[in-house]
Amino acid sequence: MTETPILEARNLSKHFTISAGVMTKRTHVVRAVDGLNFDIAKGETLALVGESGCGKTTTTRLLLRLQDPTHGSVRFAGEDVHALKGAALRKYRSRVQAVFQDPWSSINPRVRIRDFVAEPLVVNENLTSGEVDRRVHEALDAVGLGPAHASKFPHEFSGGQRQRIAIASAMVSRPELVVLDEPVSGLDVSIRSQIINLLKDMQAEYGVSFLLVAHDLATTRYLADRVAVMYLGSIVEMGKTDDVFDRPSHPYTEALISAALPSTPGMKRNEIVLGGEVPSPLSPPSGCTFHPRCHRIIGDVCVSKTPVLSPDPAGHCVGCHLY
Amino acid sequence: MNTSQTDALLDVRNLKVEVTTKAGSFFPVNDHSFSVKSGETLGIVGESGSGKSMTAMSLMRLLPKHAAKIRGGSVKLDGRELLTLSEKEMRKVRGADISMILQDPQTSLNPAFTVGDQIKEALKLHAPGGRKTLRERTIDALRRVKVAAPEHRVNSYPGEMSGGMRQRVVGAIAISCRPKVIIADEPTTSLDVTVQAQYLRLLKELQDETGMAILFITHDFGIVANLCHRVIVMYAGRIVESGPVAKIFAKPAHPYTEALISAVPSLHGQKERLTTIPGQPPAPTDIVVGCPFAPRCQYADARCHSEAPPTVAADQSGDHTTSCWRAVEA
Repeated sequence: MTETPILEARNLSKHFTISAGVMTKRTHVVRAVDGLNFDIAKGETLALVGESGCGKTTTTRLLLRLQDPTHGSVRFAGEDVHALKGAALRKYRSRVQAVFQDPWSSINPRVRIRDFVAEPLVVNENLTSGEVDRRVHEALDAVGLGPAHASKFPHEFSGGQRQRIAIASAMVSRPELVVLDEPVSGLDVSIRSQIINLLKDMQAEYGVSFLLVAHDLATTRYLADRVAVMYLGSIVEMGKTDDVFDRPSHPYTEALISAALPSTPGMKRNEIVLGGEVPSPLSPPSGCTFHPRCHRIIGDVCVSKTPVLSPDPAGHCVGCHLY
Repeated sequence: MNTSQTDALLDVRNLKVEVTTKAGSFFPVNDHSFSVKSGETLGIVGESGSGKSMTAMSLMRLLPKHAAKIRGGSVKLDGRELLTLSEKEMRKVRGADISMILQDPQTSLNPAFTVGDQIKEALKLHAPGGRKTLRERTIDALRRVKVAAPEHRVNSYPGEMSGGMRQRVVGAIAISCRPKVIIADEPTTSLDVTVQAQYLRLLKELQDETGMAILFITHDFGIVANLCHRVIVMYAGRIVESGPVAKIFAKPAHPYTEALISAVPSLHGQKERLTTIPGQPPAPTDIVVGCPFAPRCQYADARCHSEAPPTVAADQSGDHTTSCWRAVEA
């Protein structure tokens, strides 16, 4: 990364306070996201992977400014996102867009495709209706849907087509960053590859950056340039996709990747089966939060001391006492 | 279709299910024949709408009565015809001889009852006993699905458990009466990868222990590759290919299977452009003339669009079949 990153998250944390019970004023703190540091470069895809409850979605909500962080900041093109107001905020909203998992619930069923795709333009930009129409047709064309579809309603489309429409709408304002929250997991296998290729084409053509959230590791490997592995609200390993997948350093990454099923029968794999399940974020384990499930635990240091995420010269970071 | 019919535990012949809707009637299960042996896992693969779940539901005779009707064929379990059983007799079969694990552990358990009560329900019906024996057997079922501290967990409510744990409870209900056949309808789709790995391993262990047959419905070829012995591939209500897993992966005979396998991004493969299958599957109500895959098939010719291909052997061994004109000509 030689260029200045388009997005920088520094010490980003989001803690939720929940009541301990009806009869008490005591509260618990859930550290949904705790001290994240990452950058996204222009034209790059950064993937967040991890199991449910690890804080991936909270992170995307912080970036999209749907929630304010408890600590830390998100800077987009040098500006603090959570300090933006008025016109600057509207500008941010058109520069950062999102595509969600479920194309059945993310598109308003009562709105024609043209109006759905045009919405980011109508809300955030001052364009004539002719201009809007031209941009909408351009966007629909780019996702492989002809102008004839513009006047139809969402129910007339299949899941794959709906996801194309959602992508058209996210791309219509020519954003610099698009958050992709499980963009293909709601789709059938034969449709998935179409959408994955489409996203790659979009990136090549417009130089847009993606923040990808996915639990499917194969899709992640295919789309992402860099991967950040999350566990209980923190990043435990981050680096270039190939490095993370081929030479995982953190024991959790190792286990996660070994748990993925190989795509051909009889392929050898050394599966590391983790004991137990992800602990409750209400009472995370002490020290390294992964230590109760870790197969390479070294001793007391894992239980008592929180590891720091330290980058090596190549930019690969691992938060583990082994390194 | 080629496993000799004598050693088949579950034998399905020419099963046909018709669904009637306002938009017209169609056959989501169209002339299906397959069989499973004891201790064998058969994968049923296909996209949404291909008829996988309808097949499962018709084996259990749980089709919605007003909309769906079995129009022909036979389903034999251990030589006994299931389709002609009365509802009362069928109820004795369900849960005891053939049981089911559903996709979503969040909705397939009743949140208002303890998991123990829900496991006991099946036991009470099929193997009644005193309160103490029932409790012991319930705890035993939980122990077999590797739930830690089953004596305590038996009193827990589903809401107190994680998704993976709940899916184990659903599994405990399914195996509590030691059925001969288990139908698992995408049981791991909603689970995380590490939990999925644990669950698949558990299913394998239970199978080794009891010799039950598993029908595993999935759209994930990764699971098929790792868990199943044989596989049938469905498309638009038809079985387009069936055979041993190793053969299907090494040499898929139907263009749909071939495309499906190569369309899945590989965890270890290169980052070449993914092969895609153009277009989309036909809607169930579409009237299909010829091969249902023809509009998306790269090899299709005029005959594919006009005449439905017969099911033929894909190689000499006879355990690998496909319905494709290319195989007929070969």
